Amino acid sequence: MALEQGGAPSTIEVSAPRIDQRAVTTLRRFAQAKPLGMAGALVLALMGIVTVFAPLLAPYDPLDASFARSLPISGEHWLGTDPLGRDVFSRVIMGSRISIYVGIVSVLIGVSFGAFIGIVSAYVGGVLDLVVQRVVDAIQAFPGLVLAMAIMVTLGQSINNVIIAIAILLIPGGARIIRGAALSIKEQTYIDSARAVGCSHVRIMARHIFPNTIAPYIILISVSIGNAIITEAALSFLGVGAPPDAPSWGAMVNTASQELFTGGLGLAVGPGLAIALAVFAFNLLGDALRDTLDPRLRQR
Amino acid sequence: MYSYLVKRGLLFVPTALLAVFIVFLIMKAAPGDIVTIMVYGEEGGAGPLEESKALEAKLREEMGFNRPLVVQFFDWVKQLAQGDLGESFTQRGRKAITVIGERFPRTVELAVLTIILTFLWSIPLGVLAATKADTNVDRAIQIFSVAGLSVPNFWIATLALIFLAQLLGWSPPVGWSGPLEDPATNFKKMLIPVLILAYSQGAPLLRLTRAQMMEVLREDYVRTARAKGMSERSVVYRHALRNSVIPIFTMLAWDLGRLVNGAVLIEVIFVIPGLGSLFVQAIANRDFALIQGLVLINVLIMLGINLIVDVVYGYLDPRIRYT
Repeated sequence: MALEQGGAPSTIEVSAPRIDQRAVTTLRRFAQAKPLGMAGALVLALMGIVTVFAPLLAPYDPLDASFARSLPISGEHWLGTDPLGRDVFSRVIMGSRISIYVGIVSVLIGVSFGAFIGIVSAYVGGVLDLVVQRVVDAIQAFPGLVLAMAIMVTLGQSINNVIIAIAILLIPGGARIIRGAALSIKEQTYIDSARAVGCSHVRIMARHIFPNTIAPYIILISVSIGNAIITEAALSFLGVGAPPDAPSWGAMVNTASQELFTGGLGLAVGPGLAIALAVFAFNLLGDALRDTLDPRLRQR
Repeated sequence: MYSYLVKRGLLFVPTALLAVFIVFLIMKAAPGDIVTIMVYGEEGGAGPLEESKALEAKLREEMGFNRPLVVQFFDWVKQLAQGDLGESFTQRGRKAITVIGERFPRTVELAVLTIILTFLWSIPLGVLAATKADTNVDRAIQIFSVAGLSVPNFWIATLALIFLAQLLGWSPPVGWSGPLEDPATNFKKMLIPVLILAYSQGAPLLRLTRAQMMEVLREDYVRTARAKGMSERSVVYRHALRNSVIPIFTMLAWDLGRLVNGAVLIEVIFVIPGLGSLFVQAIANRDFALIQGLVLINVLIMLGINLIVDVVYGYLDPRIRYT
């Protein structure tokens, strides 16, 4: 292990900016090669604008229940009103704030935490790795929605708790995939040289292993958001997600399902279409990102 | 092979117990338990506070809720070793295993019908999309499948029920009747849930089939088969599909496992009294015996499916051997 200390640091210094440059080139290539992914990105940008300016775009207050109940679609109420007399269109617009916010934040937290566990587990190895993998097995073995429900019952209904519940569901997948990537990176010679020049374990994990797992990390984030949005909607549909009054798309579909004969068509179609559109756009973008970033698929 | 099976089987025990313990801890941390529901009701207390408090303490003592959590868990494990999952709190006097056993076949029927239909529609369409790659047929199939991934199945179910109710004036075909007692009604009630589930389950399978086939169709042995003058049908189904069968089979098996564990949303919407809707009720009522029993069965099914998948690999691809 008697390596000369002179040569090693310079290779490490050079490798960091090269990764940044590669990322920029990848992004540019992505925009040209993946029109469907760009379409998804455009829809998402549009939804992002709606989300940010929701209070300005919604024609009425989403909580204002002063209108007639279950009105049909009309010029005044584009999607009619719900059984409590609230404007459905305004609620769908405001609902984007819940769904998209929950989708993105929960995935960022869950996958990042999973990545952290995966990298530490792969790097430390031994008993820790074995225990972590058994816990991951155990969590992955039962249905996600049921686990999320159990967590929601424990934490209580709120948007932040929905984020925590969905993030917990995503940790095992993140941990498993990033661990796999980290295991092969750990064996690379540049990790040996980093160790030889005296890098601490934390520095090796944070500066040398993590940046090299960025491709699976981004892929995992982009393909998980659509699922996270559906899970949020499902939890709210079951009545354990967003608080009862909050304009959650899933809860609105639930209201529609309870008014099979009397509910307006706008209430049945609007919120579900919003979920489908958001998830569809995230899936298109996720697919395109995966095709671009996965070296196995890139050669096609 | 047998020593491999035994080794894998032994690993079931700690994983399953760990899963049950995780859920046990989560549910124990939940505010309110069956005792609070029994004493105060869902809405809150009715009787004098002192009396309620005394009753609560007595019930907790009787049910053993005031002992340390680890002791409670190991008592459950001890009971389990004697083949007993405990008594359901909400369905008083009934064993959890009886309640679960009663609902299991209904969920299995839903799951098996769904998997058969999923298999029948998604794999041929996936193969078609791969053989017609980058044509309009392929694009149409792709859009249909990405939509299947994106459209929540509880929304399609709601739309279907509203369509039947408002446009056709039908009463919603919800509920359940036994396939042996009344096959016609059973079919009528299972039809829509199975169609909806098969669409959402089939979408990812279709995409996987297409991706696998695209990869295999470029292989040299496919070119050789074509060069030998084999019919396109034979090339696609006998040479290409057979070589991409392992991941497809894996996903199909996992789907079956997840469905057998209960299609929660569809069971709730169509009021099918299976494992999924039982889980929802059990969690709402903090019915620990049922929750723990269901989690244990869920985990054992998933682990069992994984093991079966691994064993079947050996038959699907004779190059795979276990030691």
